[in-house]
Amino acid sequence: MPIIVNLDVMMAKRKMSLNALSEQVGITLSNLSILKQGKAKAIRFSTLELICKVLDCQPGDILEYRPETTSKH
Amino acid sequence: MKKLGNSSLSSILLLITRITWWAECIFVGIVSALAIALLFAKKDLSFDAPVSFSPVLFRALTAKQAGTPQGHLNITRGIFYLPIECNWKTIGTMLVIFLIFFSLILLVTFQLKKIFASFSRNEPFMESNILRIRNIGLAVLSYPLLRFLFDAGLYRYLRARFTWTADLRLTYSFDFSTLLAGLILIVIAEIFRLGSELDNEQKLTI
Repeated sequence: MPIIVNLDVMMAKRKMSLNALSEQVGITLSNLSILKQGKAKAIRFSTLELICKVLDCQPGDILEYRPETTSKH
Repeated sequence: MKKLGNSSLSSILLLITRITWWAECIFVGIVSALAIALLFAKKDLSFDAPVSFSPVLFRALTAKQAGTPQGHLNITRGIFYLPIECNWKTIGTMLVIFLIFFSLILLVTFQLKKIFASFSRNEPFMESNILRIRNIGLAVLSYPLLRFLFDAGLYRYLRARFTWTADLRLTYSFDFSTLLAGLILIVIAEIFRLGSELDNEQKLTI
C-alpha cells in the first residue's frame, strides 16, 4: 500500500509503549496494532488528531506516501 | 427486543431451527424405517394423485397394459387411487423420491441454523452466510422445478398405463411464487456480500 504508517518510529522517539498510547488515545490495543502494522484501510480524522496530540507530532510524521514502483522489462 | 446478539430474536430463532433440525432428522429416520418395515409387512399400498375431471363425462377407467392393477377414482375428493405392489423396487423408488425432496428441507434448515447462530454472536455479515443464503435460495428455487418434473412424469406414467375415457387430467401446476422467493434469496445473498465488504472496511477503519 502506498501509504506507510510510521507510528512505531514516532513511539520510539517519544519513548511510549503501545499500551500507554492505547490508553491515552482511547483505542483498543488490537486496533492500534492493526494501524502500526499497516493493515488498516482507513483512519478517522478524530483518531489521527488524538494520536498527534498524544505524540506531539504532525500527521506527516506518522503518515508517509511512498508510490509503488513497477519494473519495466 | 433486540434482533441480534445474545438473548435476541435471533437466538430464539436459533433454538427453533435447532429443534426443527433434530425433529426432521428423526422424521427421516422414522420414514426410512417404516419403508423397510412395509417390505416385511407385505401390506397393499395405494398411490394417491390429485386429478381434475368432468363428472358428467366420466366413465370407468380401464388398464391399457395387462397386469396393471386398475385404479379407482374418488369423485368426491378428486383423488385417483392406484394400488401398487409392495416390493423393493416400489418402496425403493418412493424412498428415493422422498429423500430427494426432504434433503432440500434438511439443507434449508441446516443453513438457517448456522445463519441464526452467527446472528446470535452479532456477526451477521460473515463470508459463510453469503454462501448459506445463496444455498437456501437455490434449494427454494429447485423445489418447484423438481415438483413440476415429478408431477409431469407422473402424469405421463398414468396416461400411458390407463385408458382415459373421459376428460380426465392430473392436477399439477408450476409454483411461480416459490420460484420468485428463491430468486429473491439469491439477490439477498448479494446484498449480504456488499454488507460483508462494508463491515470488513469498517472494522479496518481506525
